[in-house]
Amino acid sequence: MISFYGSEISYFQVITAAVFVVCGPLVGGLIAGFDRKITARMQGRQGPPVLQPFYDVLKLMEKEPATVRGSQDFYIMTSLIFCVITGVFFFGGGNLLMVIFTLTTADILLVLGGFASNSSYSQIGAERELVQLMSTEPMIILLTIGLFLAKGSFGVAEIISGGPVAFPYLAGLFIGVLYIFTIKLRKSPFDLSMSHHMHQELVKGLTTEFSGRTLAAIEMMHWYENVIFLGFIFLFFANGTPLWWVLGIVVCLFLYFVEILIDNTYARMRWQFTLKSAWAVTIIFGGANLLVLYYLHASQLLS
Amino acid sequence: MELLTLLIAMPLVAAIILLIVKNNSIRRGVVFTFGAAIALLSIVFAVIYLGGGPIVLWEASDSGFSLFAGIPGSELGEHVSFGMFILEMALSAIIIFLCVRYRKIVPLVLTLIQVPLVVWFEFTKSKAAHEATLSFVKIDSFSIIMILIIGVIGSLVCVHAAGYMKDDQEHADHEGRPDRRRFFFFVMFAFLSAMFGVVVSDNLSWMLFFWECTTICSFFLIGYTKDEVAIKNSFKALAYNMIGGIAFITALIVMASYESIGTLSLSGLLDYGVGNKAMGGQDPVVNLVVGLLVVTGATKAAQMPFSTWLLGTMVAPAPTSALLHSSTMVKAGVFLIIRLAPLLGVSELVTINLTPGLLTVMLGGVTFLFASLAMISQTNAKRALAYSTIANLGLIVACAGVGTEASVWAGIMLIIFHAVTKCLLFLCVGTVEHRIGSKDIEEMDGLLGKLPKITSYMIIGCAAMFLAPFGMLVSKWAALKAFVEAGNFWIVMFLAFGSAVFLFAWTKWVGKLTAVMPDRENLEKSVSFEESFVNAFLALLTIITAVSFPWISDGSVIPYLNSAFALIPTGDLSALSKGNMIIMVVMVLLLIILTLLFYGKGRKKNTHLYMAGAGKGDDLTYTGSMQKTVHIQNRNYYLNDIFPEDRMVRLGTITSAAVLAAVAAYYVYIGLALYTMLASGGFS
Repeated sequence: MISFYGSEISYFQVITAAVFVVCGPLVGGLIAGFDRKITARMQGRQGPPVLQPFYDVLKLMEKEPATVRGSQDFYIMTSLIFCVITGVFFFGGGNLLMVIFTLTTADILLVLGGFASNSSYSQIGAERELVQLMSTEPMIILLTIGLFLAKGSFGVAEIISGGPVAFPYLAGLFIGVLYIFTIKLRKSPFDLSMSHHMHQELVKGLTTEFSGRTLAAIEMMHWYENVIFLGFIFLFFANGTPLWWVLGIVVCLFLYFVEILIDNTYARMRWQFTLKSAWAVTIIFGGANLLVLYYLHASQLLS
Repeated sequence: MELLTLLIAMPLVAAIILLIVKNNSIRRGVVFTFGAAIALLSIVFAVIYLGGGPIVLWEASDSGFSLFAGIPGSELGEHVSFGMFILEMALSAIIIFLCVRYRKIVPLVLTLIQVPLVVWFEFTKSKAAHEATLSFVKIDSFSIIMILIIGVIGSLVCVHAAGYMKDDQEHADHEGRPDRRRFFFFVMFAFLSAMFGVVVSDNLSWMLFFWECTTICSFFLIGYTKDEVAIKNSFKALAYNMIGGIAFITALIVMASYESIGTLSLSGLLDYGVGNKAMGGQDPVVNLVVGLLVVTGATKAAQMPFSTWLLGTMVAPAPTSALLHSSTMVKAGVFLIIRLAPLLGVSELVTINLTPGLLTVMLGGVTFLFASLAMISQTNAKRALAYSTIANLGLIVACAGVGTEASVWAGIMLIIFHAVTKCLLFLCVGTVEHRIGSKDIEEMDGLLGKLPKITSYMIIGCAAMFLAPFGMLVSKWAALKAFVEAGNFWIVMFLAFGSAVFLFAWTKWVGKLTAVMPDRENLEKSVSFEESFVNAFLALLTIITAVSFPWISDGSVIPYLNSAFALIPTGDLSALSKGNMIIMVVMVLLLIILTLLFYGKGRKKNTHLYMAGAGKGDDLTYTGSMQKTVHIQNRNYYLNDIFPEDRMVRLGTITSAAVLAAVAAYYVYIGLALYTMLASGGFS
């Protein structure tokens, strides 16, 4: 146990946080590799090797360093650092609200990176990334509140280590989070801010003006982020017993598969639709779920 | 008491000197000297009194002046009250004269309602109530926080104004506008004096006097340029604030008429109400008084449905906006509401007590959400800042309404951070406006190249307004946690959506500021010394508060909460654990270190923007159709079709007015019920 201004942090929490820093990108990269493989198979192609994302990133690292504006890389590097810090908070069992606010900061820094070059394409991407943030933020805040009401704590360590399985209490929020998940993964139909394919009106969106190591950093950040989001899904199921741990991980993987399926079957939606639909889902599923929680469970759980 | 009198008198002396001085250099000297003196004096005052419990400086037995040692405080207090009454009548006469002169019916009618109420109160209720009043002037940690905000930030605004108004007058000469700067500085300093009065008065009739003074000061400041719009908006502000004034005097009359309260002191009201609450009971008359005072605070804090006057203040010079939005005026409104927080609360256990608490939470929550939504579509920087002020005040008001220690903690922290940051932003926008001739956010492309320092301060200010790990966001986090724990569903929903909107509205602005464009001409040299100094100082202050907030909390907010909630503890004193606060501080430091070490330090080869092969090679232009050279123009999303400003404001106003009407109807119902039980006695 380490004591930090009155909070107790166990060595286990320190270890899981460290594991995230090291293994986060490995897991995220592997997921990206399987993603590409499965996508290819869905489209009747052979697809790249599973390790291709790692090869890509390594290759990016070796490119000649070049940039449009000296300042723009700063935002991306800082964004990556804050993304890692977010993961450290999350996997170290920290406060969920702190996790989401730090993650938001990481996202905002990414957006500012898009603005910094004053490029039209990257600014459109940045603007859309902001719309995506605004679309998803309410749902994520409601999720943390739902978890608090169901589990009695904002601490990730407390949420995963005991209490009831949150899922039955948070079924509505779960649906909402699934909707948000697609936006957060920047997958089709919500791949608004940075497209994977070059020849369209967006070019590469927010990432247009980045190259080499900085682009590699964006890719790594994306891997870290995806692992954190899967962690959020996991919170719906964790209650400290091995059975639910396994089940939680299985659900996470299954949902990612569903996301790939959606990615391959939908065309890109407009950002206006993204915003309106995400908020509608948040109000209908998230809001209703919370309202029920407040009136059915909150009084007994809070007392 | 002598020191406090000096604190209130000093700005007044400065005001009178500045009314006389004509020479601009001497004026700048006077402003600087007195600004520094007021700031220092408020710091000295804070050093002496901060951290301790509440102290009554002027009580019924002793006025605290060694000069008047033999005379009972209440007797002297009555004389002072009468003096204030005469002054108030004189000011009302001026207002009536101006209303008639400019043919403004609504403020005239409101004045004609208020004056008889004040006169009637003075000659029938005031004497007895003063005799029963135990404390007249009282300070505690919360009033000292306010004194520091008014003294330090208010003075900085005045110093900035000394530089700003020189430029402003050059524009004015161009337009043929007369030089009214003497009057301007007179009102600015008088405003500070009145604000000191508001935050230290425990006698509510004194607070009302200072309160009305701030209303009138703001009226003159808004109408400074005397053009048609300015006059219209100044009377609008006056009218809205007079609604608050009428609610205030009504509350006083009820307090003085009701035997169980009897006194005019705010602490007397709080003690009585908190005593009841601690016993598990409540008094509907107290609820009525509190409700009226909340409405009073809400008008001054520009809460919906009374919010529109604050938008009107944008016609005034930037220092006026900075003063009204950061350290004075609107802060008086939230100050009063937070003071009442122990009597608010939305706990289900105290059902009747629900009304003023629920009213406060709903007004604040609705205001927060709809003002944030209205902020999205603003391209005018000052209007965007104004909506952000209204939204943040809404959050503070909601914090007070929830009425737990944790939520009030968040509310007071928000007041502190908001005062520093919003002041910085308004003053920077003012400076920028004089350089680039526009306050349009869309014109701020590449500003980092034109005004590197000022723009950096603005980026710091914007980041501090909405980004973790800075103070505002930390307070918002604390507020959210406090709201969730207090079990109020609606305010949580408002906060979830409002925060998301805030992110969008602020980031796109910061994006404009951070965008780097080649070959910008540096305009920084033409900025006056006062403006550069104040802007830099405020940017530094923003960072200092962000880094030192756990200790600000320990030294000032926690002691206040300890005494205010001593009888009705509601759980954790602060919503955040010390550990999390320290983590936030470390993150701020990390962000600063990273910026200093790495920003713009890359040594990479430079390439050009991607422009689909049509770029001209300067990253500013491309070859368009017919081989024409076209400049790149990047524009932000303002979502005008999704969140149009007028509809958002209308929705907010209607919703909050409906809440207000529902609560008023409830009071009438309670009143009728009480009337039927009147036989049991209670009213004298």
